[in-house]
Amino acid sequence: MDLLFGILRFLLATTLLLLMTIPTAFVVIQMELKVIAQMQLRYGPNRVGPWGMFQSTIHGFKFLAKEDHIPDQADRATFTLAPWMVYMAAAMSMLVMPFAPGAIAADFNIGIVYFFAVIGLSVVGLLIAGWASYNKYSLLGGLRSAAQMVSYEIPLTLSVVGVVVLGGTLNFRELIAWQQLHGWMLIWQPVGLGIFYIASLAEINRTPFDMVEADSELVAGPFTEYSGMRFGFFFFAEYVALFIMSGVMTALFFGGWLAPWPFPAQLEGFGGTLYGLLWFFLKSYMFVFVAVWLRATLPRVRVDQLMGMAWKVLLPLAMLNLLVTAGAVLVFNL
Amino acid sequence: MRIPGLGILKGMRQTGRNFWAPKVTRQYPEERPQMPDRWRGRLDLIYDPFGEHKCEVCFQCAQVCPVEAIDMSGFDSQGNRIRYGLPEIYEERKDPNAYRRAGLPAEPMRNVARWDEAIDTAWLGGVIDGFGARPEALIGIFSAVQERYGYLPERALRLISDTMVIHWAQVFGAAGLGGFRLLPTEGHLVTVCRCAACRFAGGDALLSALSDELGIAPGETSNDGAWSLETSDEVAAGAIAPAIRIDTMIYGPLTAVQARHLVAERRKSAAAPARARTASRPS
Amino acid sequence: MTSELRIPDPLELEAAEEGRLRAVAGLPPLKRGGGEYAGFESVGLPDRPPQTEREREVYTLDEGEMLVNMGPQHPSTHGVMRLVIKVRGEVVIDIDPVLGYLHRGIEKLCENATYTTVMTYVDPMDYLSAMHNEHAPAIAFEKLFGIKAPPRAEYIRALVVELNRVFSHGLMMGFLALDMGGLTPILYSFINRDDVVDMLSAISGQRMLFNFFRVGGVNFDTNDEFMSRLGTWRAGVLKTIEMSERILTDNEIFRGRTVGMGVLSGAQAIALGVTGPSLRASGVPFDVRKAHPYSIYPELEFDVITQAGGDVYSRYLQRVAELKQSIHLIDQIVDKMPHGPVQAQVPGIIRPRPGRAYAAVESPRGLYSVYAISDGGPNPYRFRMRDPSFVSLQALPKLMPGRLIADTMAVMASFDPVMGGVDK
Repeated sequence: MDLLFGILRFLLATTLLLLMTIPTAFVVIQMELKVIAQMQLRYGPNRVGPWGMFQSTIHGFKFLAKEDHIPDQADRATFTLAPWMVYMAAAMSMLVMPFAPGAIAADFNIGIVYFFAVIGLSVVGLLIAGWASYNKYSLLGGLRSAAQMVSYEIPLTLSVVGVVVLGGTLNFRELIAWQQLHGWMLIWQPVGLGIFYIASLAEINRTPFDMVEADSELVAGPFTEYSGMRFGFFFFAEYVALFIMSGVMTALFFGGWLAPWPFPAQLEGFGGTLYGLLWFFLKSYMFVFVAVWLRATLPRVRVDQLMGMAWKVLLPLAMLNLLVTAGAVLVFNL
Repeated sequence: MRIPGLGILKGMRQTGRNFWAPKVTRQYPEERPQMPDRWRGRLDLIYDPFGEHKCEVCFQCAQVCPVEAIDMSGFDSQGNRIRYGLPEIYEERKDPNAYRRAGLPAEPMRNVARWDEAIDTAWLGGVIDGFGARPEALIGIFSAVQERYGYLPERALRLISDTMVIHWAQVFGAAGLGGFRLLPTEGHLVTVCRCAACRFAGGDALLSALSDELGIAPGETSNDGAWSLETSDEVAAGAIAPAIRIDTMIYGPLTAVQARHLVAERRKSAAAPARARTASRPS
Repeated sequence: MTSELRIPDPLELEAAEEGRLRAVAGLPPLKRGGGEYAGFESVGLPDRPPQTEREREVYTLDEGEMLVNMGPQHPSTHGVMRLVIKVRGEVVIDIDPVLGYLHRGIEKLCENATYTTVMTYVDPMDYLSAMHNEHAPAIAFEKLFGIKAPPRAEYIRALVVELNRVFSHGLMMGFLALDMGGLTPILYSFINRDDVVDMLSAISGQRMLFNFFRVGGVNFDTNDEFMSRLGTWRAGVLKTIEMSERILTDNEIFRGRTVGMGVLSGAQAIALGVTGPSLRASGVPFDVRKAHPYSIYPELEFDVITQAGGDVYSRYLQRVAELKQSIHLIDQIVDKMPHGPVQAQVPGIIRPRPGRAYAAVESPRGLYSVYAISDGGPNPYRFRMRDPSFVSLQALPKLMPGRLIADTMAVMASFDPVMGGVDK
């Protein structure tokens, strides 16, 4: 009976999550359109719906209405598989996101490991997108983006290892409980936070690290040959990944669903779930706003500078951070 | 010593500030841009020297237009009315000349009785003779007519054109010069000065504020006929720029806020004279 | 007697000239031999044998090299231009700009146009500095006709020319940022440009292709509308420019991509014929307004600004400094403007004396000059324009070898070319 209940709960949770990804993407895209516009002293979309609220929804429908075109000599199976893989990487990683107490789809004991493992699948998706298009520019773009994402995964995960060492657990929920007792992780791991933020921006190809999609450079990178909903999947996956990374950052460093004041940091029962949801989304969208703010302000980093920064700056810094954290844990018996 | 990251933060601060700053977008078509007088980009139907449209309504332009942007209507040789274009769009356009050519009554002028107002032809003949019927004296003649009637009636302009043998288009064009009204004004008249000094000191902002306050554009009269707004090249001597004149009183220097307040006060006191007489005072 | 005229083989001529130029500019001589000739079809151009040694060099591929098209439809070339880039991986080995996509035959059209109509033809050449495009022919034709423009006309000319320079340099800031991925400074530049262009439409009647200059003066005098818009704009312009500056000048990412990039030494720049802010950013104090004074510039006080670096960042700083200098010049001009007529007395049908005239002006891109030959008829016999963007673009293949593809856009944007001028 328990097993059946467990399976039903799991199915419900996954369905809800899948349904949630598209509206999340819509909201993030709408935010990007309006926020960047406001920073550029213009209004952004304000005709479609009140304050232009439905613009990104219409964008979604537009993608559905476009012609679905596969190049003649492209490899059909992998061409179709690529957007699916990238999107699934984003959607699957939402499985362990700690939205609220009692509202985690799958409360794994190795949640953090699962998350970073699954996020890496998008690299494979981009690679096969670039290869399957039968276009040398797409191939170049795909290789570049794969190189970028793989290089930044290492400082990303290393910075999280520091968090894990302090918290003593790989479980998101328990990590948040630790933060409730000891204060938010950002005061314990400020360097880790910095590394994590920069690496996560590079991981999801956001400006200033978005030369994958740089249309002022060599065409559109690995997505050149994709049109219609296939491109829509790449597009939405990027924005969902932005939300996911912001969510994970709040969970790891900013207390997840905890309120900023110690009492009450969280409530009990259903009210507790709602309260936690509120704070989680508030904090996540704040980081999404910061990412969009960065996009409005900064130019792109060049490819070699990007890679140089990953290997020569972030990686040593992350290792140093880990060393110091581990040493402190040993010495002070934390 | 450059601290890494400060430049990025400086840029972010600028965009962050702009996030809250007022936006510069003009919401077309609700707000249309103010085209300068010399703007050469507008499409106009042109008149021949006798004051009639040169357009023959031959429909060639409407037929050849690749985006079907032209609608027109007119009479053929049998006297039947023919149209090119969607009736609904045609109806909405309400171009007075289009109506007249179609034989329909055009949009009534604001003071409809004055369009055909009879004028004192003998007096006008006398004025013209007094100036010796010289074309250079046209402005002087206009000033005299405006002094007598308060504006330049069309009948008077036609008479001037016939008597002095000047093309109607030139007469009509000269009448459009600053300072002459083609429509009579009723009620109170607010004149905003547009001399160089007043404009440089912010006269344009003043004009738009007053236009906003009264709800009419310069050259128009409000719907109840009580307030008119016009501009003039010379209201004051320039020492009190920017200046306005309400009826005969000159006020200046004024900011846009002060001018609005002034006009609003005058409107209130004009609207309720009995009660407000003791309370109101010119500011 | 054609047998006496030995037409040298173009390849030979080109080889000699190329060798000389490369020696002057301090570059290594052209490579001969090497890999396999790939030809033009590999990048979508019509196939034909190479006509110059340089073409043969560019289109010959060694081991591991690839020809990549940054094609005519591109969001970031400054107009329609094709750049054929020979890359090895990500590193640029050579660049061949293919021009002519915006060619409209303006020089030939002007041969069939009267001297007044020429003003309408030259506007859309370098469309972002249309007033400068008109200024040079106006001076040249005045030399041919022997007419002098009245002083007020010269002041108004200088005023609109400096206004044009202000918004052109402002746009360069925006384009440089946009080509590197920064989305906001271009919007701020366009806010500034919108105000200036509204102002210029009040004086000339049009917003972009002004048709304002006439032989012997300008078309219209200033009016109150223009002066009031000028006053309003002048109060707010420095703030708008500073908005873009704050985002770019100290930005580490921007500096990382521009400092030390595309370094053009003074001698190289002179050898290549680069003029204007790009030349002055390499340290050479050559400004046409000071070197060959024209119009009323002798009466205005300004210095020639130079920068020491010669890299992309210096060219950016140079343009920002010149922008502010132009605003200072506008202040001086408004102060000093005399009264008087704005057009000289010119008869209706005018015929010049047969002869030649040359006039050079300082456009935001460099030295813009016109060489007009008249044969006494109502049309110019030959009307040759030297556009600075065309010459500056030649510097691109000399600067890029060894850099990455992404830098191509940055370096090109720093020269601020406008394809209308390049292709005429």
